[in-house]
Amino acid sequence: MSQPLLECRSLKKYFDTPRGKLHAVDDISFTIEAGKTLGVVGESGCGKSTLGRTILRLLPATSGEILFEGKNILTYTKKESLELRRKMQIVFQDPYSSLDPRKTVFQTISEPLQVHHVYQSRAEIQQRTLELMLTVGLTERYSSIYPHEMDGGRRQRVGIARALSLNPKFIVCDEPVSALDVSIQAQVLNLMMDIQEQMGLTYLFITHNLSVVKHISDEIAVMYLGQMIELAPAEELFLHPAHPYTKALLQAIPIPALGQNNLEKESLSGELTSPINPKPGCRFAPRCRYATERCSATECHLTEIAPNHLCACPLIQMS
Amino acid sequence: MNNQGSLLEIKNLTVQYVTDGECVHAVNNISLTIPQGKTLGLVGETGAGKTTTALSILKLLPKFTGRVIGGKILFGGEDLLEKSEEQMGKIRGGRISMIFQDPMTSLNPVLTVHNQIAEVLKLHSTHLKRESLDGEIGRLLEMVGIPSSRMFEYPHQFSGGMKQRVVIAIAIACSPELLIADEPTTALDVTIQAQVLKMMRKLRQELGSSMLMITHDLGVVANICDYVAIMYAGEIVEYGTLEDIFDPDCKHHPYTVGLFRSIPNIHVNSRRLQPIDGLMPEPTALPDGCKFHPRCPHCTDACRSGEIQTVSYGTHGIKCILYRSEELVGNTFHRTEDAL
Amino acid sequence: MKGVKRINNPYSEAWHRLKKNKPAMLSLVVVILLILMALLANVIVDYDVAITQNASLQLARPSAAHWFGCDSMGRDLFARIVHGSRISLLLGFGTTLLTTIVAVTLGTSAAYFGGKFDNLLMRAFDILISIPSVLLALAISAGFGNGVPQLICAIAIGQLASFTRVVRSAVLNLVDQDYIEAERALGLGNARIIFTHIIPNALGTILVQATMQVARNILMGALLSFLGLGAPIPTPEWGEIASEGINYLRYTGHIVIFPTIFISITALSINLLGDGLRDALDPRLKGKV
Repeated sequence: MSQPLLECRSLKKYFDTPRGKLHAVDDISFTIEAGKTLGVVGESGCGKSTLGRTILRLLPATSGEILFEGKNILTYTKKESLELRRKMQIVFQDPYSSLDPRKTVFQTISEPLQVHHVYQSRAEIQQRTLELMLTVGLTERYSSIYPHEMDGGRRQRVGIARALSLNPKFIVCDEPVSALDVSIQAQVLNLMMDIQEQMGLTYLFITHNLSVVKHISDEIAVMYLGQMIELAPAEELFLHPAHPYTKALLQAIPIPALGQNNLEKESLSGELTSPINPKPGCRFAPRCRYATERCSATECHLTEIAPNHLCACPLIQMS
Repeated sequence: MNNQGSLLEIKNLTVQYVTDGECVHAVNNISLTIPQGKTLGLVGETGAGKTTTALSILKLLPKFTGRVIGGKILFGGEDLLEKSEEQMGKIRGGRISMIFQDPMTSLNPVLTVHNQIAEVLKLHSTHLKRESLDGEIGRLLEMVGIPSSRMFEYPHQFSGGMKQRVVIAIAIACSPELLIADEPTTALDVTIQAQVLKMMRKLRQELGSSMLMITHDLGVVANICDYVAIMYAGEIVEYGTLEDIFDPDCKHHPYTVGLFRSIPNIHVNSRRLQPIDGLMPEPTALPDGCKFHPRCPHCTDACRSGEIQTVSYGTHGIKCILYRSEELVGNTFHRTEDAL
Repeated sequence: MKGVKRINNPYSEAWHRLKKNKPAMLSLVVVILLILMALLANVIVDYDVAITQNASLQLARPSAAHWFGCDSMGRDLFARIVHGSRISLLLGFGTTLLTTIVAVTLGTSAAYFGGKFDNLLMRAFDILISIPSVLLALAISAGFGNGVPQLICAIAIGQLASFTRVVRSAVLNLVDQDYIEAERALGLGNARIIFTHIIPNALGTILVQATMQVARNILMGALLSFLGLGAPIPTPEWGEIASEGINYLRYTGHIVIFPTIFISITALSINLLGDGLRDALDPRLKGKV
């Protein structure tokens, strides 16, 4: 097996708050092979966005290792870090705040090329920028258009083109289609999948939308309160969800078809517990209908329950 | 559509927003009906005109720019558009309530939950005495799944899902006949959404209210609605019962077909989604003829101009020239004569 | 959702909006005329006329020969006001330029880098703001002597704290935007981000604040000259002319009235222009209902 493109080992990101340490990302480990997509799902407060930003070093990690192409990027010098920026990029959720309102489409996409001195002449920069625009489906006439003159879908395409400008290998997609209308979502998702195939990109796809994540991911990781509680190939996760939270999540999705929504099914009760100074043991236990006293006493680790299928549930660990 | 037992009837409503230079055709000659005790799902994407429709019912359009150009909104037989502001004040919150999308900004951060519910109770139920007020508020909170002991807390002490429940409690406080919910669960996590939808179904049954549920999520529609109307560029392009719309064997408006195909369905394994080409037209420059024709794979010359008639059979109607009325009957589900 | 519209630069859109605002356009014309008057003062009337004393014309009322009459030393008032505009406007615009440069530098750095620097700066300004600006200006002038440069500094320091705060809060809003994070992810350095992305987006707030400052500074300059600080005699300045005229109100009001009218018109026009600019540059008005 070749070396995975990205590997996280025991990654932690804590924030200091007046009430204590907020465990946003707590001891996460996983790998992503080149050319694949790892989907990260979870609800608000699970830490998935923080995870994405920590991997890109937009937030300093508290501890752990992030290995990109085999090397720990957390120990890089300033120069090496700058070089790395070209290989790891990000696409944001909000198409309205992710573009500078005072810059045209052309200026936004060409700026990274200028700053990194990728090309010598203006003509080359211009050509490359137009190429990038075409790749995301924007014709040349969009060059001098400003963000406020475009709809959300087109702005998102500009964001994608900008992320592609430096020829990255790895892109963190932080809810890139959540703010878009359904029919536009489909357009942008198709685009992202096409680009991935053409350019051999690797994605970390963060979303709360389970239907979308199944569509685009090879593997899916489920997060809850900063911990990764299940990791499996996409099909497998939906067919055989192991963790009670994953099951609850899947059950909660409203199906757009008749006779498939069991209206009286058990829905998940209670609220998220606090990520500040969390208690030991399984963090889902307070809401889990299968929970026993031992769940709050056992530390959870991802253990393999089937080929490539990992789950961090004390009950499963114990059996 | 038939009128028997209908609580709300919108007839030929046209609404525009006028600013200097521009005229936004938000709603164009729509008609819909909500029967007593039933839920109508108003489905569409951004800019389709759903929120404008809801605001028109409550006469809450922006004062200087929003104009109702024509039509009637009959509520229990009376035209709401003819009513004075004072009369509408009695109806809002009392007979018709609205729930907005974002629970974070719908509540007043400086008033306790108790005071916000009390406000609406005092306004519409003048016979309620002081002592029974607390009891009534407690009962309402329990109905939406919040312990009544929390009634003196402030909005910021509740999570998103709980805030939305408080908003719902305020909306049902006076047992309204019609509840308008504008994307009430869009901002919520999926497990919280499931909880809130379950609660809304239960409430609807207990109160016997009708509901206008505005959403873009077809899953939510399947979960809670009895009837569906699909909006595009200010028009209703398809309407029917839940069975009519979700029946895959039935004929549908090309936009409806496109919508269903754009959604990644977890039970279907397809590599590529099939999005609808192009974008919804600018409401300031709507195309002639069928508003959907520039994006429609079945577009013909007849679609490009003129008024497109709605073809209907029983409860199901489509604003498209593609099909004859008889083709609108589905195979799988039995149609009752309880017309819309 | 929008498709492709006509190509429109945010600045030219703002200009179009400004053009529709009649009071603002009128004010713009007035301001331009006043600036021209100051620049072309020597062309309009000789400086000598402004300082030549003439005992027989003391307190002369307005006439065909002397449009605004004469002051207590027989000097032609019209000439004094035309030449006085130079100092008054210099005080207004010059001071504002100085304040703007310092405030933008400090405010942006404080908001962008945050941390201890931000804290220290804000606490220092808290102290500065608690001193009434007139007293502060008087103290500085008293300490460093009379003269236009001292006056400019005195006024500038008085306005610095509030202007810096405004810039700082505008930049704080911008720093949170996703596109700033995107630029960091792309490897853009701090200097580049500040100069090409943050300051252009804060320009609206800065410009509006600056125009409001100009009006206030002109008034402040007039007030301080009125109190005796500022330009040395016999250099004319509007505030100083009015101050001197107060002594003779019993006999005639024209020496007070004319400079006051000019001060008021200048301040009013600049304020209206500032209002117009604020509305024109407001991004919430961009493009939609």
